[in-house]
Amino acid sequence: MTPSTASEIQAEMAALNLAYQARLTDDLLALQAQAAPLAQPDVDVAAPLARLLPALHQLIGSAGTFGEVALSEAARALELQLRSRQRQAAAWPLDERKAVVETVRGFSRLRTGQDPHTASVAPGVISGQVRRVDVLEDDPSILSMLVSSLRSFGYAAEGHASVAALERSLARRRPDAMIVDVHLGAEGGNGLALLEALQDRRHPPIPTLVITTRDDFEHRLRAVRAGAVGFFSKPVDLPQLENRLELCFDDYRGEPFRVVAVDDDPLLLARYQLVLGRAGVGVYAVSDPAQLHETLNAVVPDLLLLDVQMPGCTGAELAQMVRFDERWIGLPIIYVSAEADVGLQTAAMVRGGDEFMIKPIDDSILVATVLSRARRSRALANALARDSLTGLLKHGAAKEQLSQALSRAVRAGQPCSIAMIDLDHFKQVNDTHGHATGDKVIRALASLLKNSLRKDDIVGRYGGEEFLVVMNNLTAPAAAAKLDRLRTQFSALEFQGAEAPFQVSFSAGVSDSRSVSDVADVLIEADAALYRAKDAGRNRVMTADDFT
Amino acid sequence: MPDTLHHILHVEDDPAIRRIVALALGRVGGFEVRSAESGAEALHMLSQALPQLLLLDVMMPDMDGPMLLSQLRARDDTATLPVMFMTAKGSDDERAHLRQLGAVAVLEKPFDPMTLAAVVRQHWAAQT
Repeated sequence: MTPSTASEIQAEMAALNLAYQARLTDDLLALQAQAAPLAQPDVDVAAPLARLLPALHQLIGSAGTFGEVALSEAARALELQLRSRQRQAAAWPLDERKAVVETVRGFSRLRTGQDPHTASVAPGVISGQVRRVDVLEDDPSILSMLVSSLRSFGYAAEGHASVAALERSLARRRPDAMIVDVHLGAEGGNGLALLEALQDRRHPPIPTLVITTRDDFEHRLRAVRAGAVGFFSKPVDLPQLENRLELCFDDYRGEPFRVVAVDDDPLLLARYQLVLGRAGVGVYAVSDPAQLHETLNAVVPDLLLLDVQMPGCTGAELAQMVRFDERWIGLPIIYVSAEADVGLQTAAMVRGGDEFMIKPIDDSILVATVLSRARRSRALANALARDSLTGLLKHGAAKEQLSQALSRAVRAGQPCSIAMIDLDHFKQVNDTHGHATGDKVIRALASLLKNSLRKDDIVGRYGGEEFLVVMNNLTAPAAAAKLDRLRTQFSALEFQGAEAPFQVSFSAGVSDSRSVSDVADVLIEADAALYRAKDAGRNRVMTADDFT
Repeated sequence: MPDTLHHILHVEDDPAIRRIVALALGRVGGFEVRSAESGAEALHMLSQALPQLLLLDVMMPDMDGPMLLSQLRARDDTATLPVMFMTAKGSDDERAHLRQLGAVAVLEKPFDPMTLAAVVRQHWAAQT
């Protein structure tokens, strides 16, 4: 290999440093979790020491190499201290052990670099991307309520009392979404007119939710024309607003659509790839119909493009075969054919298709048809897989994603953590404060989990007050440390009760894929850890390792 | 005087260190560097092609550096393969012990990515 130029090397080094800083947060959390058992009075310190020492040793080498000299030195000093202690661990006084746990906790203050994921994070959010939401509302009490609850959901929300104020803010930076009250008083200006003017100038438009006092056809129509993606009349149901906000992010920032195209003509397949690819759609070409089933399972497409006439079988027969599989009952199927015979078209549609396009197909019509079908298909799949109260994945969908995450983790040789979370004494909340209040508690925990975990983590509502969380590339101790911070945060939240404000806590059990990689087994381990956490007095997070 | 050093195999379980060593020795130093993430993977790679130098992390899960070295010394084709260890600075005893196992050098972690290649080159030239 020839040596590279200095600037190339510098750029690569900067990228490596950034990747290391992102990892260091998890490393330090894992280290804290490994040290934590040392602070307990009656514990055999040999096992936690055996886990802590290699982790410290690794930190010495990696932190120093990536410029975290103070951190490396501190880890080195602690390693020396622990090694000398290891020989007489039994006689180790509790206050010294507690001091070790404190030292480890202090490590994060020694780092000089910043985790790129949390560098600009709002208070209360542990990691993940923070979305900026501008709110326009002229009623000060509603505005402050909206802003503070959006913040508690983890958004970086900023309130504006007038159109002019919002415009000034928009001139400075583009938010990820806006919530706009379109019925402002005389002072405030015309919200709907502002929206119309704003979205005119902006590509792509900013996803906007409209709040209004008048819910009629004319206002809904004007809102649509002004680019609104959600419409809420006052008084606003906040969790519902938050759900819709989440949904519009999914639509704008979600993964690209995936289309499977079956055709025996390679030129046509290449054209699909070119035309749809330009529109940001991923096209997976299948030239042999016998390969379709396998491709569908691998790609999990949003839409299927089928040639009507192929050697060996017809598109209609293929469509019917696809529909045999329950998973693909809702998959939109578009037939493509040179056949202009209406009778044949009808027959094909009856057998499981949704639309018929005649070759030669105009590029722009192909793109428009595919995009609109794929968008609705994904929204529908989302709605079916998601729980209506929380917007989280339902039991079945969560479990399926868990199984995919596990096999990905095993393939990549990375750990993957699974947590079962259960609200403490939830029946009491429902009995004392009513089910509507109980629902609010559930939605609050759902939002906290959604907004605090990373984008590729999985959060599902597993049962009534039970949640399933899957954290990729994190060991159980690191995942538990993360959840424990959320536990502290959640138990500090105040809910409005029938008479007085009240607080709710949760318990969690965490396992990971390092010891078992079977879905059923990791769930059993996490569940067992959850029950141990409940038995130990609730309001705590335990890992499967904590009692082996 | 040994041959000019070109081919290095680096064995290390920490992916961040693997990447920065590849940068330090490959891009900065101009060596051909391949990396293995475990002793087992290293053994597999060694059965296909032999490097001139093995750069070996000491502490790894499953098979640590010294264990891997003793396996290599028992094989005909790798019995004399030069090895340098890399380890977070240990006591003098530890270093002496690692040298006794037959290592050409014991390099320290943390290291400076900009000078690592020069350090390796120095130790390579000093072999007798």
